[in-house]
Amino acid sequence: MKYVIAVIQSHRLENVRDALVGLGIGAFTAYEVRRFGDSEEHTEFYRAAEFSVGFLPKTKIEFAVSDELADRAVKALRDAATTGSVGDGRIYVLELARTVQIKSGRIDADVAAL
Amino acid sequence: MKVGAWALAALVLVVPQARAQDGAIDSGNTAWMLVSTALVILMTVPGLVLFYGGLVRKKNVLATFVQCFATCALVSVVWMIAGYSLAFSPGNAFVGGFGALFLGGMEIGSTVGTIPESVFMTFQMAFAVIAPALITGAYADRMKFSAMLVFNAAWVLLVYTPVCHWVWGGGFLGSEGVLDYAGGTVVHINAGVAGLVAALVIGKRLRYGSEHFPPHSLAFSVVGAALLWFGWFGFNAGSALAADGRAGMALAVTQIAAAGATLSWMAVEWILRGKPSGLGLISGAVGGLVAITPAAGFVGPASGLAIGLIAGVACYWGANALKRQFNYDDSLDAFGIHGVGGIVGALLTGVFASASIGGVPGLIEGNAGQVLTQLWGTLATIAYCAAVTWIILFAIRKTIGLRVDEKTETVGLDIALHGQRAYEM
Repeated sequence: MKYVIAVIQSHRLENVRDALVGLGIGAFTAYEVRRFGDSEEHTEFYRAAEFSVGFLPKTKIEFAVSDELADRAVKALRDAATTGSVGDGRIYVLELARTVQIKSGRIDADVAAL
Repeated sequence: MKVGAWALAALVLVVPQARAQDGAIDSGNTAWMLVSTALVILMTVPGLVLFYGGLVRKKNVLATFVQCFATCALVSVVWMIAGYSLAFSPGNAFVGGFGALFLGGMEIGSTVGTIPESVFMTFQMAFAVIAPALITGAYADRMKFSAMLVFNAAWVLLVYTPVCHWVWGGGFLGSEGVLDYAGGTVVHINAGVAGLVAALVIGKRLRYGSEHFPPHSLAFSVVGAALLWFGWFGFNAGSALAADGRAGMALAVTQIAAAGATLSWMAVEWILRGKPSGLGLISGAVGGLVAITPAAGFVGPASGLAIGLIAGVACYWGANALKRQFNYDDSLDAFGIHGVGGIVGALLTGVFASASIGGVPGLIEGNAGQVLTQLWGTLATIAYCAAVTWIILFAIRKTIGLRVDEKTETVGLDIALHGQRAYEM
């Protein structure tokens, strides 16, 4: 089982959701984050104060997926998230030992998608 | 002689100095003044509260709100106790008398012109409230709350009230023909200069220049500026003390000047920085409103537009180039916008005043002396305000202290001074 973390451009979130749902991945978590280090920045100015902003708003998504589905999920995610420009983000794939459903306490060692 | 005659005309036509005269109350005028008074209060709470609150960092939002709110309450009481009397009771050329302490003598039938004196007093109270509230923008993020309360009470009594008397209460500036329809000198130059002095005395914010302090919510500031614009119709058109043609013209030029300044700030910023910023637009609007304030009852629409266009550029310079060049930390540009806008507006009133509107001609109509009169009023206000403001701040620093300690400033005033935070998330 894999745990996929991706930091993407916020405006690609809907595309990514559609792509993942299309693969049968019906649940994931998304939240707003700020990312530094994609070699992009912009300048903000407020009256006499001007500065370069390195931390840029992004959306981070996370989901668990079975080993069989992992590669397809990563490819679908990348296809849906890419714009071809600097700052499109990054996908991280981790090994996942298990998940526990809070409501029932059921332990899932390997499921299609959570 | 000619200038003197015009000055006398200005005094008779403009200055709402008469107090407690018997006269018939006009219900239309009174209704408009009731609304205008509420509109001017709206400028401070919630207008200025949101405008300034959005411009500070998240850790100081509540403190900024509270400063304006507390100022509204404190100054209302100070004005009731002594401010109104010292501004508008008969006195000498420099200060009014003690005849109306605690509003003594103000009866239900007392009138000023054709409105109840209670309404006139409260209208002026709202002006006295917003002036020190404007100054809070200069020392935002770093003044002790207790020091702020003491400063505001002292400043209203020792600076605002005398200048108010000089211009509107029968004092020497009004007698000499200085034109200030709705408070360009009394409120904005006064508050702006006091803000600059406060910024210099209290010093820069910690890590100013090395750390960036972007506004935490420009959405707040846009709403606040919009409320200021809305309330300003009471500020300027209300200064007619009547629902008449002059009030209507004041309302019209207020809208025109604010629009002109919004566009001129936007244009300058767009040209110089490549983008028309949201903060720039609302700053331009406020600058235009400030600059038209002294002129509102003296100029026509074309002049209103000219004043607005010039004010937008001047205030852009005041809040950007001037501050950067002299490297002071006027946190929210109390001087850059209210001081510069007020000075520009006061001088341009002398240029554009029209005899057909306010009874006094300006430079364009051949009365060049009015510009010098306006300059004299401006310089006298700047000098007095700067000196007495500095003395008040110096006295506070030597007694209870002016500035919070480093830890408090780092943690933020919300938690450190008020034990609460604006946002729980």
